Amino acid sequence: MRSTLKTVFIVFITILLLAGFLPILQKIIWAFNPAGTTDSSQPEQLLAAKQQLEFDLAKLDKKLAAKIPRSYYLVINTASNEFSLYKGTELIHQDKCSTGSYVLLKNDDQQEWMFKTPKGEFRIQSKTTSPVWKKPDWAFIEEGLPVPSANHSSRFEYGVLGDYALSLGHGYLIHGTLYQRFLGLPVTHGCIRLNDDNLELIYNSLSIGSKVFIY
Amino acid sequence: MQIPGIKIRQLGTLNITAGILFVIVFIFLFCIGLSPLHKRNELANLTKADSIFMSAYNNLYDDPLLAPLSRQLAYKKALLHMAENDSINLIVNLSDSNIHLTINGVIIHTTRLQSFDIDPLLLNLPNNIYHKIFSHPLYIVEEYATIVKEPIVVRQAPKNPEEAAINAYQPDTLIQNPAFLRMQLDYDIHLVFEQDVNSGWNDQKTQVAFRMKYRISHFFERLKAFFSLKKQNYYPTIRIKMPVNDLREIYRALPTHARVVIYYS
Repeated sequence: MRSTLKTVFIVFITILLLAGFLPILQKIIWAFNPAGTTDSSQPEQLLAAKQQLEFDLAKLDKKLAAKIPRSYYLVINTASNEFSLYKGTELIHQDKCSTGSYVLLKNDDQQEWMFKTPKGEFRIQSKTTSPVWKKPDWAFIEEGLPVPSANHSSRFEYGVLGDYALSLGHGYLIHGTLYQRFLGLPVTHGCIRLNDDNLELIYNSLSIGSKVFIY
Repeated sequence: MQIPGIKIRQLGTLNITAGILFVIVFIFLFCIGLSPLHKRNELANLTKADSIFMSAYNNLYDDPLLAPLSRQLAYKKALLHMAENDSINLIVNLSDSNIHLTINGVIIHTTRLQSFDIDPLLLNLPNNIYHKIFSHPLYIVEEYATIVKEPIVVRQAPKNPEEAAINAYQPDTLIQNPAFLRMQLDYDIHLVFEQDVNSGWNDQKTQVAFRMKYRISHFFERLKAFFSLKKQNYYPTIRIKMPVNDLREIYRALPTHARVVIYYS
């Protein structure tokens, strides 16, 4: 019995030692097989190749720089609920905002609404002052109210979107809010809410066609 | 009472079994030890087989003087390829210790890396293989994370305004689980992101579970390959530690099968 235990113990220790040896073996392998580099070329050839590389790099840098908008654009971080206003590569202003709550609202009629802010690149489609909110169906369903007809007066709410609204298309807006204490939290139905000062700054900075990047 | 002859025979059988086991384990570990070399040969063959790439590749780039510049060129080429894509993608710039999110060539988020570790296979890659792999964006083939992509909260519509008032949605910050992420990219390259600070018991438990999940599945994959006499696959891995909030933001921003550009020199 004792010798059996001894054999098992020796095998176990040997396996452990071998397993421990594995990283050392791999280091030895790389020591004997380094990345093959050659330095046998003529200096003139090297110089010419270096100049060509630098030229190609400068060309690529130019092409990449051309991708960055020169005018104002907005970047919205939906995870931290923050926005950044840029002009070219210069950061103009950064502050809190509110984005989609990720609530999935379901009713008994098997209808579903997902309240999330879409991600990707958008453009400002239109700009309005003193916007009026035309409440969609989900706004009534969420409050446990019956859904009125399409143009019923109860659908129209004044002053709840702040002084300005900028449309991103598909019903998504950048607008103001009455609930300023919720800024910095994911509470909206997909729109982007800003405080009054930030909304004014964004309204004045972005024009129709300006880019908005949401992630 | 035991007969001495039987005992000796039992001991002999045990020693033979132990010896066989030892040899099997030794061969198994030796195969694993050689797997990075197999992988490099596989990548080298892949590179040589691409005649268009090989004819465009300038051998002078292998010179130590030009290699860093040529890698920069590969990086910029990959960025330009990625800039044609209008979804959110990832840039891992290990030379600057930065990670960026980008859309259409515009950098929308930057995170400074706390620390990172590059696989010896990648560090020892010949320059032509480096160019073949990293002068294009790599696709995320598979990913596993300890956090959810979309923290969805399901709510049933209330029957009346009274019920709506009782169950009013209380805004809160999103559920913040410890964040660990593994991405498998083209060429079997793995990118592992870990939060830089593990403060509590839950963080450490999640980290151990995250690492064990991969190690166990990888161990069984290796065993299967060994007993079916197949080559051991090797997954060159880049490990990155970064602030947890940035890790969450990056993971949630990236669509599935996003593209990644990696640069190191």
